[in-house]
Amino acid sequence: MSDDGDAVAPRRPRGAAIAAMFVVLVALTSLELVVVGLDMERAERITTLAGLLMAKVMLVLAFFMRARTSRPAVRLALAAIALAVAAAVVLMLEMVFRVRVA
Amino acid sequence: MGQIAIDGAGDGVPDSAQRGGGIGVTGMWTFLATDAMGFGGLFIAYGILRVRADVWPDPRTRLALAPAVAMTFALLASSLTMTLATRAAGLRARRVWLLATLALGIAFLAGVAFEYTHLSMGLTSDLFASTFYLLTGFHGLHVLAGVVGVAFMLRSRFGAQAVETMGLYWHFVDAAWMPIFSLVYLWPAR
Repeated sequence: MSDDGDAVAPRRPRGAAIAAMFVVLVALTSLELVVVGLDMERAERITTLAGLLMAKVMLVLAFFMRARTSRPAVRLALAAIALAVAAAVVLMLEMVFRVRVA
Repeated sequence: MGQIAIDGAGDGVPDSAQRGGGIGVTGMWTFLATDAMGFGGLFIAYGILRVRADVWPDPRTRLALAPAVAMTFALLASSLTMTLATRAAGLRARRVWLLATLALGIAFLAGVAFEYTHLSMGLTSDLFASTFYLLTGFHGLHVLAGVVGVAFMLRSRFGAQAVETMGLYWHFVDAAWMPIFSLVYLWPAR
């Protein structure tokens, strides 16, 4: 396969799109603070916070780091990062829903 | 350094960057993959210690949320300025955005220093304190490395490709802070 065949030209985000993504990240962070202040069950709170966290990390990876339009070699590195993230998320959920056996 | 190909917008984006990154970008992604494993290992260790601990204090009784929120917004803003630096048309604009990124990175480190000096717990006080200092310290060292890197770039005449590579590292450090902020500062105790 030629080099050109491997390559997928990343589309550079426009200024307005970058600003919009920044606003979304700020909004998601603010939402996290709102969730902390709400009267919720612990499991619901943690699940919501984990969801917001995943959304933020994915947005940074996909948009700021432009991972979705990268070369296969980069995708391989991304798979390793995703593995680490997945392991951490599984553990987070295990922390919430773990049933202690005496 | 790769040759600079002026694209339609005339922003001096390197040709290799247009194709998805050159050797530097691929190398940085490889480094980030190994670094993500390091952070992942710490998060897993933190989770295991937290789950197995008999008591885990509510973060709000130990940590002030306001400085952490300010540090989070500083890092988010620095990702924005770094992205604008990678998109900058000329050297002058690029340096301005890099300078803004550097200032926000230093502000984050100042926030860490402020927090450390105002906490009523030490590294060996208990498990909560040890894991807190380990996670935030490990991340703080990454920010420090990023600040040194950006400062080095400001002193030299690096091209768009180098800024793009540095930007990947900076965004990664921003992304790595997100789980720390959520896990350590926001998640309620058992």
